[in-house]
Amino acid sequence: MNNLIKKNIHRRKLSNASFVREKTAKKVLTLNITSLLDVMIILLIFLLMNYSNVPQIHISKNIQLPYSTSNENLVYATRISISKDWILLDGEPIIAVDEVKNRNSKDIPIIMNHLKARAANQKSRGIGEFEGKILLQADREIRFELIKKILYSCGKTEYNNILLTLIQ
Amino acid sequence: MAFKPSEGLSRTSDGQSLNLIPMLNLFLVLIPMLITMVVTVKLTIMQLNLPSPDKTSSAQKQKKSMKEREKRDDLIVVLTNEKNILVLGYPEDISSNNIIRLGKGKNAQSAIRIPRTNKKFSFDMLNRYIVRIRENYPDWTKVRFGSDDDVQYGDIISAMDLCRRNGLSDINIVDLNTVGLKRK
Repeated sequence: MNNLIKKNIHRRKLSNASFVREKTAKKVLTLNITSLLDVMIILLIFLLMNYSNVPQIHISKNIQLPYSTSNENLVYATRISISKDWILLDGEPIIAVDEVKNRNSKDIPIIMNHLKARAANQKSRGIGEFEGKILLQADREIRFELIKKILYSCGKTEYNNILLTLIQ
Repeated sequence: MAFKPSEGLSRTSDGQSLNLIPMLNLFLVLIPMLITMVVTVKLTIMQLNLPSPDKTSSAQKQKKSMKEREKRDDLIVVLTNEKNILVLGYPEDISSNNIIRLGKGKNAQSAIRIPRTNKKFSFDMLNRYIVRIRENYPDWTKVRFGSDDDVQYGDIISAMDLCRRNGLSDINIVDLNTVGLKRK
């Protein structure tokens, strides 16, 4: 009988000890983030490979650029954007397209004035050589008449280096 | 036969593992930053070199341009409102059934006329001519583009791109009046 009681007490002590051990074990358990880290490393490598140092230029949603197979890199230059409604110079609306259409001249005086001012400013600052670069972004449905007027205005104000922005 | 559960399963961490949380934090900052920089639409450029402004009259310009054209080392591609393509300044040995005469008297010149197909510009046929010209004259790199007023910019770019792909990389724009092609 005594032996039986001793055995029971011993068993209870053991079960209490395992309970305590379980309790302490739960405290140490942590979230396994290794797999998450693996995914992130793969993602990071992928993103770094896609990263390019080509300048990013904002294109208005109203402008649908034409496609090209050219693979020349974009450069920073004075931007002329032609949407269906407006002509913008470095993102700033200059003149409405309808207003230009109604005019019967070869060039667009207001754009020429702005370009002349910019050219003078760039020359006076004397940072490098004046290259006369224009980044032309035009909607693919724009009539050539308007493009011709813009090119004529650029050509007359020493901006002879026209870079047509296209989607690759 | 029943297997005994692995003893390693019941083994708990004793605090010896690497602390990856700072690395995770760094990644959580880096990844969104890179995602915002990912280029979804790749932009490219095509260069046009406009002639520098000079003070000669338009008649003088036309004479000069016609003289330059006599050298016959560049093509002129004209896109018309009727969706036809005219190729001027092509080498004489390029035979075609579509040759037409433009202008009268001294200023008359022949051109290859590429008619429209399905109410669109026939860029495939233009491509065939350009390929033939480039095969016979690999030195030719100049091409000038002229167009009627109502032609869409996208169509001109398609023609320019086609020429550039075939090695005519010196692309420029020409005023039709200066090459004796006065059109409505």
